[in-house]
Formats: sequence, C-alpha cells, structure tokens
Amino acid sequence: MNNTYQFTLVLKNVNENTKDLEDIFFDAGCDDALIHFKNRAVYLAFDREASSLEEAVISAIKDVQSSSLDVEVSSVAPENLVTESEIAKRLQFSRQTVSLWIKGKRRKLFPHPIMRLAEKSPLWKWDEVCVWLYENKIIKDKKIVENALFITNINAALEERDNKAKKIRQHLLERLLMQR
Amino acid sequence: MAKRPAHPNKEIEKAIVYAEKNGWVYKDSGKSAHAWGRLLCPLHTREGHKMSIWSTPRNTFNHAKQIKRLVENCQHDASEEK
Repeated sequence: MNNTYQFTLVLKNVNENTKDLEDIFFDAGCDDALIHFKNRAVYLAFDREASSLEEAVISAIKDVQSSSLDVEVSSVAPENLVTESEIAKRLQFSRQTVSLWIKGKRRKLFPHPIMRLAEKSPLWKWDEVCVWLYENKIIKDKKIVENALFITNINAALEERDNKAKKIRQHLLERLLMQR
Repeated sequence: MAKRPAHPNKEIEKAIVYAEKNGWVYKDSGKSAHAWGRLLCPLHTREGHKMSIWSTPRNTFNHAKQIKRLVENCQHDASEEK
C-alpha cells in the first residue's frame, strides 16, 4: 500500500538563476516537489507516494541525480537536530509539556541534549527523542521511530560519498580503536 | 504590483491568493515550459523565501498544500529588511 511522504532535499551546485532549473527537474520526475529558494540554496519539498519513506527518498535522490545538471543532494530534511520548540511543533504538543519532560517533572529520563549545551536553546537528536516517546507510549506508531532513524542514516550515507572525508574518518576511527 | 496570469487550476489559484494575502508577490519565470511563475515572500533579501509553482504538477491538490505550507512556515515580513 502506498502512502504519501513529506521530506525535503537540499541541493548543492545549483541556485535560483541556474538556466532552465524548473524544466530540467520537471523532466527528471520531480513534478511532485515544490522548488523553493532561500539564502541562495535550492530546496525540493516533496510529497511523494511510495511504499515507504526509504523508497520515497531514494527514488527522489535518484531523480535529481538523473537530471542533466551537475547537481548534488547535500542533505535530507527534516533535520535530526531539534530545539525544544521544534520538538513541540513536530508533536503538536504544547511547549510546556515538552519542557516538563525535559526537566524530568513529568515522566523520567528524557534524552540529554547533545549540542549547544551552554546556550539558551540546546539541541536534541530527534531520533533519540522518538525512541523515548515510543518507549513512553506517547507515540504508538513505530514507523515514526524508524523514519527518524532512516533520515539520520541517509544523511550519514550522503556524507560518506565524500571520499576525502571518509578517509579522515576512517583514520580517526582506527585511532579510537587502537590499543594504548 | 505586476499583473499576473491566473493559474489554470482552481486549488492552486486559491493557494496563490492565500500567499498574496500574506504579502507574497508574483514574478514570471521567463520562458519556462513547466513553471507557471515564482512567488517571492515579503522579505526581499537573500534570506527571503522564493518558490516556483508548476503549471501542471503531478498532483494539484498536494501542490496547493505545499504552497500553503511554505507560506505558513515563512515568518518574514517586510519590516525586517531594515
């Protein structure tokens, strides 16, 4: 059974002045996406019908890559790092409820934020938040957890295509695993 | 404001009118075969949003929703330009 999945591809090497941008993406099969621009970047916001989120995203990336443009998909949104207010927005809960979870005043062991810890609005990993929500039976659909993990992994996979970065990572990983 | 052509699809035309009520303006997209035109959000700087609207999207109903969604997510108004 097919569902409609919403996600956004962030593109590299093109901009709003790229010649025939719309027509090229239309012909590449992206006529189910809204093309939009901000800060000179190009975004494709898809509503794609497919059997799963994975199928939807992979086929969309392949459509983009099949175009005659020298374009690269740099990432897939919704991004994994979220603020407290973004968590509330995604779940359509009040900010106050989310704040009570975070402070541990309602339910226990909400995940720790992982970035911008010293600042006013630190960032959580959405996939970790989803796992917690599922364990606490706040969300009942396991697909939401799986989709959050998929978005994290597809973004990691997109980065792995960069051979130079991959080599550096491999080197660091080896150092981390080395016996003292 | 420049006069714009009406969008042939009713749902999408409604979404465009909704965007215009929120301060977005029409800009033509040259001689594109598939793009009806572009809409620019109230903030006309690099940080502002622009979107391109299809003449014949795969699913007109979804496309109308995509337009509305972007308008709702855009918090810009012209006063920020200063």
